[in-house]
Amino acid sequence: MNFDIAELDDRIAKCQKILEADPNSQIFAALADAYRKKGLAQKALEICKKGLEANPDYASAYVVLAKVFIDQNNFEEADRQIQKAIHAGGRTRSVDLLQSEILIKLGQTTKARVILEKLHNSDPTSDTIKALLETLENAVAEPPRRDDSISISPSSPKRNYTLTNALSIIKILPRVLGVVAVARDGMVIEGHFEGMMSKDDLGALASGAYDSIGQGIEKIELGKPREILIETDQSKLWICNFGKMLIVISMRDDANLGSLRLKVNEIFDHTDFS
Amino acid sequence: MLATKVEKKENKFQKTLDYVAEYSGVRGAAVFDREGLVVCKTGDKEFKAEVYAPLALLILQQASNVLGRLQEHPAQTLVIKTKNSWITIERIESLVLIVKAGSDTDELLKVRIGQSIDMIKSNLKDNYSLIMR
Repeated sequence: MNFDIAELDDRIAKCQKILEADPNSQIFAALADAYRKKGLAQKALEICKKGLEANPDYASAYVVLAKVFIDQNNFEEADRQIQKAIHAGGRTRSVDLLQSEILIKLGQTTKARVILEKLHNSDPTSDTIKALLETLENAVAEPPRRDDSISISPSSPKRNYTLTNALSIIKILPRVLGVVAVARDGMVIEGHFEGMMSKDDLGALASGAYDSIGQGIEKIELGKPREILIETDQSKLWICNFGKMLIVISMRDDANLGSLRLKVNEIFDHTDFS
Repeated sequence: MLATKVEKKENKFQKTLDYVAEYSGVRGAAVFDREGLVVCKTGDKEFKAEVYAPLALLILQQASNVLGRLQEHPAQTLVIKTKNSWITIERIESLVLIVKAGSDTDELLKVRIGQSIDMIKSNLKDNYSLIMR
């Protein structure tokens, strides 16, 4: 990100003036952040540490420290600082965003996904969240930098997704509108769907469609369908038979089905359906 | 003279189907109207176009019913994969194209089907514009 140096200098001057008048002022965090943006990380660290001596519960200062450590690629320390920020001031949207960014860098994709999904649900239009989700998606395909007790990287055969994990990951893939796991009796096991109808209705309808199409196909001795793809000019509905259950994925018409199929297969290869 | 002209039109659909069927893995293809009447067909002995046509219409209808409940437009394309087969059903204006291939056929078949759809659309536009209304 580019910052106007003159503007930063002006901000630094104003903050210093306030701090000189009141050495215990919380303006030190803004001053440190301005130095950070100027690329003076060490100066930012010193100001934050000194300021925190007088204001140990000032969450914003820990956020600035976390940003400094992110700039230095020290994500472990950034994680520690963001934890302190949460402890001191609770969770805010910006803290959640920063934490998810740190978790992605640490390879803790599952934790990051939980936070980002919540943020995405509350603000589906945010480009920042979308960008982070995209980063997360790319990170899933790479080995994590550090072990994560609940992380599930498809690159590691030792780790398995739970059905919940798998569906959550699929839901945030590009252009996916919803994903539902349906038992063979039509009951929805789990899913995420934000359409006009409930996920239960979607599950029942998809299951009904699968059965009736399957019966038709069996009449010409082709056996049970493994998968059915229904396309309209607006959307696509993909129903996959996984034995005990059907996985129903609703997506936009411009979804890249080939790419999606690869990712979904990769995820389900490592999913425990029991 | 007239007979020759009609034959020429029919050949265009047939030519399209032959183009799809020459793709490795394709076992049969047919074009039929919305009443399930076969316009033209090609394929091996097991591909019974007269059986597949009404069934494909039924399946398209069932899929569209589901989509209707989801406030979606009717089904345009339906792809069904079984252990041994890969069926593609495509609605093209007033006609329907069905292609049956082996399940191990490579994904580029989709490109071939796409080209065939364009050929059928072009034929309909050039020679059957009245029934497209």
